[in-house]
Amino acid sequence: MRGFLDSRRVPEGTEISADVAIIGAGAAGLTVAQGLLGLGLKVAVFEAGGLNPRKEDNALLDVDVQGDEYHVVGTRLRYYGGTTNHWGGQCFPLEAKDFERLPWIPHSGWPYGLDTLIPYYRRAHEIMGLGEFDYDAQAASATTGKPLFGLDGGGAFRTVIGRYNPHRFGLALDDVLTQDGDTDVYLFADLSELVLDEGGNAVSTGRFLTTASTSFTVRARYFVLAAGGIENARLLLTSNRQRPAGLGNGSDLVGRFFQEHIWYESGQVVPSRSLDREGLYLEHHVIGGGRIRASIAATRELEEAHGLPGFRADLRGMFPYSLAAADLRAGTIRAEDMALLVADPGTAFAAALCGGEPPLVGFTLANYFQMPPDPDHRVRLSERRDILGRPLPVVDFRIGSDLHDSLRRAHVLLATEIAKLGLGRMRVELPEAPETPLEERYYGAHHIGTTRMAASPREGVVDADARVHEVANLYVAGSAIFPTCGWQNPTLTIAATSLKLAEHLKSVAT
Amino acid sequence: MAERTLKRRLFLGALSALMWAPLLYGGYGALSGIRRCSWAEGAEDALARIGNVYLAEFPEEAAPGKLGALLAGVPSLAAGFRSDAAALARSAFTEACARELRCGDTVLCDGWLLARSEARLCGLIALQVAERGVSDAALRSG
Repeated sequence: MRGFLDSRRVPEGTEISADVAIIGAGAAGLTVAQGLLGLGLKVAVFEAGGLNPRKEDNALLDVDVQGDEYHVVGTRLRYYGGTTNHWGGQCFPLEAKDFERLPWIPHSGWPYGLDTLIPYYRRAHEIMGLGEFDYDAQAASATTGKPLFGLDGGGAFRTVIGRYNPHRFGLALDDVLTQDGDTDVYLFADLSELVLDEGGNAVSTGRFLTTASTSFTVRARYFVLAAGGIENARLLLTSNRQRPAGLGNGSDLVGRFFQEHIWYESGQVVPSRSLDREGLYLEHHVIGGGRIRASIAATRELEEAHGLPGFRADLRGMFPYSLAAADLRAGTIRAEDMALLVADPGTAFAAALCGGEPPLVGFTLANYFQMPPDPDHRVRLSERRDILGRPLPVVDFRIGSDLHDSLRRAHVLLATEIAKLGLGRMRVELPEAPETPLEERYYGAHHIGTTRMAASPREGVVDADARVHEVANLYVAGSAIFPTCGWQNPTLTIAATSLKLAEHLKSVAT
Repeated sequence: MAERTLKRRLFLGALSALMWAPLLYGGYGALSGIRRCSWAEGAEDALARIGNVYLAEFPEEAAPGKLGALLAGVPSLAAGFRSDAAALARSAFTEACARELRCGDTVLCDGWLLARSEARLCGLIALQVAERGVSDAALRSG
């Protein structure tokens, strides 16, 4: 057993050799490494952080932000396992339409369809402990005995099933990788640049720096950048020794089309029939060997008819007394809320004292909204440099009123559908034409699209195999390669596309 | 319009409102930390608040007679008004609202997406609450 290797102890000037060098040990990099196990390939994985988060390394996560306010802290974790060390485990596969070139989503379209990814989704399900690859809402309803809300069949909205397991990619693999005779995992290794060979067609070496002021190089037949959507673009751009615009950037696409998921809590629904507080939408249920929960999403027809980006709403129960009861317990209840408790002291005090079951009167919506690809939303290099002398990345994007209007339109359509189908009433809480669009928005902490995939080098940085168009042996893994992201959380698709890349590497490297 | 007819319409309207008032009442109980609406307020106050928003948007309808006439002009509602049975009135109201929702005759009031007749009914309730407030004030002053 070799265990983890500390790059800071690698002697200055050492050259490490491998068949495949993987830069980054998060969901993408570790899944590629897992896919290469047992093939007899010498694989070296390089993680910039250690086995735990270290405050002193935070400066190396620094990012300049221009355009809209965007809090990057917490969206990137600099240690083995990456952000899967703290993710919530929410998984949805992309759907067939998400791979299409959609007329109402400029720059949409993947170079392959859903069918191509299905086998990898299934394999990713096994790895991630998600249970059966089954996202059928009707079947979930039948199995659990919990009814669907009633929107399905109306043609505008439908129930979608999410699967949940916060799989810790690092923890799950540390023994496997460190005991595998062909795989080495180096910690505290910061890639400085990739250098092309004499012919200028392939990467010959990667130059690494450490916080111990040492450096070493890695020579490999294949390199995989799997450092996250911001870092992958940054590393291609900083590798500009032979190509001044950076590697893979002949069409000025590296770093462009940065996408996130907009998360916005807005909308109240009061259903016309009493709600099951353990319903399909409000609680997790175990079926098919994994936890599931339902959400509401727009149909393709509705999105197309109204030019909407992908839209999903997760439901949260509204318990009329629970908040006031919690305040009472904490001794922080406000005077006006005391009236609430007095209005129905029996239920309220049961909830306050016993943690009893307050009535469920409705639900609020937590909306996940696709940010459509826009070439002006981008990651580029800053004038500022980090403590290792590398240019910092700049994240630069602005949310326009069009996205606010789209989400509001989706809510008006949902409210209309709920009322029309006799399911209740919905309150649309997004103001019309506000000064600041989606003012109280959050983000999904997903960095997507900065090395987008396309069949043509004029439209994308990597090809359908995730190989950088202009470099023979350089690949990118992770959500950076997604041309579009739909409303789905990306980790399952990151794992699936990484397994696909591993299979490709197997075919070319063995 | 005779005062008696108007009162009857107000009564029937309020009766119909009971059918869906709990829904709105529940809605105003939305207890997120951000939007603490007045949960303690009654269903009538909640409906009146929506009604006031409607009347502000359609001030030309802001009179009991006008709203009553508009509601009575809805075919299935008119049938309900001719009946003394509360159940029939409720059923007529439901039917009228369902038809309006189907054909897109909706309004957004205070964020709630409502059938036109629902919003008008809220308008009536708002006028009723306002009138009662004036009467109460007059009684208190002597």
